[in-house]
Amino acid sequence: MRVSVDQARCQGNNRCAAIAYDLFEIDDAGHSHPFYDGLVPAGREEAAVRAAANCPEDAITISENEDTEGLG
Amino acid sequence: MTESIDYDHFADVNLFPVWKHLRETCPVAHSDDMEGFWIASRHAEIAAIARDPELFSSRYVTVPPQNLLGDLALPPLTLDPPEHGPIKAVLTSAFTPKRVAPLEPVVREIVVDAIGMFATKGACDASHEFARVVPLYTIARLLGLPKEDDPKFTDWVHRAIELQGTDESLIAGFEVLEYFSELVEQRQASPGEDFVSYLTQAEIDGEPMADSDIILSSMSVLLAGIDTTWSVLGFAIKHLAEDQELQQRLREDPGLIESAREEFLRFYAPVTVARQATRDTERGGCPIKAEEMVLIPFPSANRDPEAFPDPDTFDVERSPNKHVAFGLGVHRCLGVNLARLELSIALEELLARIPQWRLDPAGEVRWAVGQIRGPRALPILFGD
Repeated sequence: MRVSVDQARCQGNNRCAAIAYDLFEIDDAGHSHPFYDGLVPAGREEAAVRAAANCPEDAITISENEDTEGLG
Repeated sequence: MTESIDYDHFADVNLFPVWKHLRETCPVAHSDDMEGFWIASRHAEIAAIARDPELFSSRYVTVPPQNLLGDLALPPLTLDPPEHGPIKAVLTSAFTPKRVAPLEPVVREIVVDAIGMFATKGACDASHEFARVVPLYTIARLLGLPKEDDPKFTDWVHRAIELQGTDESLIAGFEVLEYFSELVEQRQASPGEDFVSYLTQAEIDGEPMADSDIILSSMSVLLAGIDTTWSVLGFAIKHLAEDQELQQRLREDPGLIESAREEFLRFYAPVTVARQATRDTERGGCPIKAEEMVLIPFPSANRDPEAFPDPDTFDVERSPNKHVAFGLGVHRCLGVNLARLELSIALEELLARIPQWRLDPAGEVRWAVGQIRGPRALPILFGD
């Protein structure tokens, strides 16, 4: 699973980091950047999905990558 | 719809049914009250307006339009892009999760001390003695105000915020301005670890911030950071007073407090802002002229069934819950991480230390009026 944050949409609500501080890093401008280059570690998929669903700016997208077997 | 609606947010009325009626019958409505304005009540229009600062300026954010101090802009609240961005970025850097997290012990001490003042009395005004006090002292410590100035600070907040619209409020505003001017000078000479010192050392495009921006930004934090959190906390305490089952459930399962916090934010979002149209435009089929004011009540967006299923039901486990209590777009609330911290700790400690609180049947709940709404007197009884 990969997670990405659209920087144009992100306005620094930081809800994603509140839900999953291990998946999203908040920079000094308050904007969110996924850790691990967006690769979601095993076991954290539900948290990533919840973070995406709770962004009031709809800035987060989740993609299920079939070819990440063996990673994370 | 072209007829004028009656709408007065200086009246002591519950606006939630008013917004509901507007959402259902006239989602973009006009009123001749309060010098005339439009009001968008659905999530879609509120979001679109908040996300378009070029068309909907923050030069004036109140209805009727006014500036707190003559015609001074109050950065970043009343700035538009491109001036808005750099100042907002500097301020935001002081309010990131990394910078707010270390405040936890300070907030917890404030919360526990406040509770200690009434815990043995079996009764208190949970708004005046607790919900007000938590953000007030938190902001005071964040701004680096010395504790001996707390009474002065408390008095200003009372006059500037609770008496808003009066001459007293304006005078208090000028006193705050004078105080911060001196404080900024002191911190420039001798910086500390506080927010004001941080601003004196910050740079925008390689240049230090203008003194006026430091002073006015500090004032913005003071004015925006207190009555807002005070309101949400007051609403939450009242809600739990009236729902003993939920109160007990949170007491037994503190892990649920975070989810409850977000649902309190959605259900009771205290802030309505306004914008000024910068040119003739149209929303929801209604013509809006340049310079007309538009109210965008975030609490109304939070109750829109098109955005939240069963919106008028308080669901402590609501998921997803992408409420807009903290606003949308570039003016998203600066204090979002601090507010969340304060609310969580306040609820946690109140639930742990104050058993079974309920509304005092002999007391009267009183409410703030204006654009930041919430309980300002909340008499409760607790214990046996």
